[in-house]
Parts: sequence; structure tokens; C-alpha cells
Amino acid sequence: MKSRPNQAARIKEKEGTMAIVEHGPFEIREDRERKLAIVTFAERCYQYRSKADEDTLAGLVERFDLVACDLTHTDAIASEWLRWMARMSIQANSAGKKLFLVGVKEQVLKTADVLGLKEELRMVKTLDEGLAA
Amino acid sequence: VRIGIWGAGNLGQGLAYRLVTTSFVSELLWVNRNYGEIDRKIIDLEHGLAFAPTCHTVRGFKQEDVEIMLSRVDVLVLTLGKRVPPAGTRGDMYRENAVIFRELVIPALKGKFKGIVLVISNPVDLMARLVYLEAKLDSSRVMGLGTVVETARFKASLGAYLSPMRPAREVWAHALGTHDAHFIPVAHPGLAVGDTTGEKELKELVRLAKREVVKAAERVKTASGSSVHPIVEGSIKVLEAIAHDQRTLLTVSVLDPDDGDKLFYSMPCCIGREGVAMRNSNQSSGIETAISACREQLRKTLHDAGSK
Repeated sequence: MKSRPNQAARIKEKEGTMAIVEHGPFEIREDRERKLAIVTFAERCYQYRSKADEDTLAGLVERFDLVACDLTHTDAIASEWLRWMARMSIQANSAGKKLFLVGVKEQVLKTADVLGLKEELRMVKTLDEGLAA
Repeated sequence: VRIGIWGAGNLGQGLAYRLVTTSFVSELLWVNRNYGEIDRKIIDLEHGLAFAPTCHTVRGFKQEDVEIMLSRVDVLVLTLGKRVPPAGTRGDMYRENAVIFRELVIPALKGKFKGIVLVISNPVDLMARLVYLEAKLDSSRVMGLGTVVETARFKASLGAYLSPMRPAREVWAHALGTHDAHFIPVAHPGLAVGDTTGEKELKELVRLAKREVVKAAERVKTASGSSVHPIVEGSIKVLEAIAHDQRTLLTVSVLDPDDGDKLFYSMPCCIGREGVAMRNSNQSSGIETAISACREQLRKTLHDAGSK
């Protein structure tokens, strides 16, 4: 796995000019042996959810039996990401697969609650717990 | 137009500050049971009038002078009343707010008032009905904010479930029925340009979006979680439609002319200078069934409150 996703943006010096380098909202690790994809979300997931992001996550639900959204490092997340996880969860369920959230912190839980998704999304403390369930 | 606000809670205040920045208000007239709660705010608003697009006057009135105010307004917005109690029923709330309306509002509206009433006080469908029945105003001149707010929240939520995400304005969907957890979400495939969500999946997304809307409505019950912004903006939209004679379709709560109990609930209505210009009662059989359930809920609330 690569290093975990960094903050939303970081300023980088480049040839005397300042350029803002956007980091992705998530990184993916594929475990083909266990038919598992682990999507690790950024510490602060403020990024706009693009069509490409949506297609990437939907593709994982298609290709893998298990998709784990790892939010262990995530302190804050834009609501659109949680909504997309809920939509993907519905797609996974209807295909007899599983999508679950791992290590959801208190603040993210509150965001999910405001959206009415706390009961909708399957949440576990650890990856192993999710795999065992 | 000249807009009157009755009430100075979170909503009344939010509306007052928002109205002076619109480009359709010439005068803002404000009354509250406790005049001390609004007098300094009125001066504050006056101090900002140099930057207001069209509003040139802000006036506060003591409650005993409300009839003077009502003789001068084109549209009256009613925000007064008790907040929804966290553990209380809608019947409890109706009973309490009906007392306030009967004591203060209804007698005042029977005077020289010739304008349109927009009711925001809860339970809004029943409060609008009370104003219509007891102040004996024409039904085109009385409306509740109804599911205008649910429609806004529903579109915002649903848009964020689509791929790609859409802003609320690009989503063709609305909420009908009662302004409570029983409202009816209406959305069909093709609800946004280019969207290909199938009927079965859309049904699930509608379920999620409805739950979010209901959650948001519950937050209004607590002071700390109050979510007045879409209520203020929804009110502005209705007032703008009246002021500019826009004849816009909005899901305000209006009289069902065919209902024996003269119930008010939300249907798509054409709103313009005269108030409710038209009410679209032509709905599919599935929606008609759901609306019947809403009507029964309203009758139950009236019954629980010991009212007719």
C-alpha cells in the first residue's frame, strides 16, 4: 500500500513559482486473493466528487465481492462522499456483495447521522471485523 | 411590495434580515409580542438600508398596533408560535398555537387587511387552515409554506446521489402532502438531464433522500440544531413569486376545495400577484393514495388536539 492519503492540498515550490498540488480523496489497495478492495479515504476529504471518482468506486463494487471504505484516518468528510458510499452499498447488496465502512470517527459519524445514513451504512471498527461479519 | 412579518424567533429574524437585501421589497414592517426584541434590530436594519437594493423603510410595531401595520402590508408572513416540542405531538403544538392565533392573529386579520397571508408557524398545514376558516379570507390569499422546504431539501439530497452530482436546481423532483415526516417524495427516472438511474435504484435513492429530509426536519426541533436557512430561502421564493407575479409552480400548502374538512396540504400551485392562481390536483393514482394518507394524518392531528 502507498503512504496514506495526505491533506486536501499542499503547497509545493516549483521552479520559483508556487503551485497547489491536489491530492486524491482516496487510495485503493486491491487484494485479489480475498476478492477485497480497500479504499482508504483522506484525513480531510473535502474534495469535489468527480465522475471519475464515482466510476472508480462503482467499478470496485462490480469487480470485488468485498469493498472496505477505510475511514480510520478521516476526521472530516464532505457529505457527497457518504452519500456515494450509501449508493454503492445499495448496489453491492443487490449484487449479493458487501460494502462496509471501517473505523468511522465521531465527527464523521455525526455527519452520517445528519444525513440519515448512520443506520444505513454498515460500520465496523476493524477490517477483520468487517471480513468476519 | 410591502411585507409584514409577525414573530421574531429565529425564523422571523432570519427572514427580516434576508428580506431587506432582496430586490422586491419596498417596505418591511415587523411586529412582535415583545417589542423590545425587535426595536434595536430594526435600527440595525435601517443602518444597512443604504446598501439595500429596493427596501427604503423598516418599521417596528407594538402588538396593540398590529392592525395599523396590517392595513399597510401586501403580504403578511406569520412566524409566531411555539416551537415544536421534542417530546410533544403535533396535536399538542396545534392546540397551543391555535390559542395564540385565535387570541391575536385572527381578530387582527378581520380588520383592514387586504393582502395575502403566508403561514410558516407549525403545524403549518393546520395553521393555514385555521387562518382561512376563522379569518374568513379568500382561499387564494392564504397559503402555508408547506413542503416548499421539503422539496428544496429533497432536491439537494437527491442531486448528491446522482452521477455526476447535480446541484438542486438541476433536479426535477418535489415533495407533496403534509409538512411532516409523512410528506410524499415525487421523482421519476430522467429527473436530471442525462441521468440514467433506473427505476428500481431511483426508488432506493428516493428512500435515502427522504430520510435525510426527515432528519433535517427533526433538527429544527432543537435550538442548537435549528436549520432555518432553507425555510428562510423557501419563504423568499414564495414572496418573490407573489411580488413579481411570477406564476411559478411551488409546493405551498393550500386548500383542497374538495375536502369536506377544508384541509390544507401541499400540491404544486401556480403562485403570482393574486396569491394561489392555480392548484394542480391532477396526480397519478399512487400519489393520490399517499395524499389520502396525509389527509388522514391531518384529521388525526385535529382529533388529537380536540379541534374541528
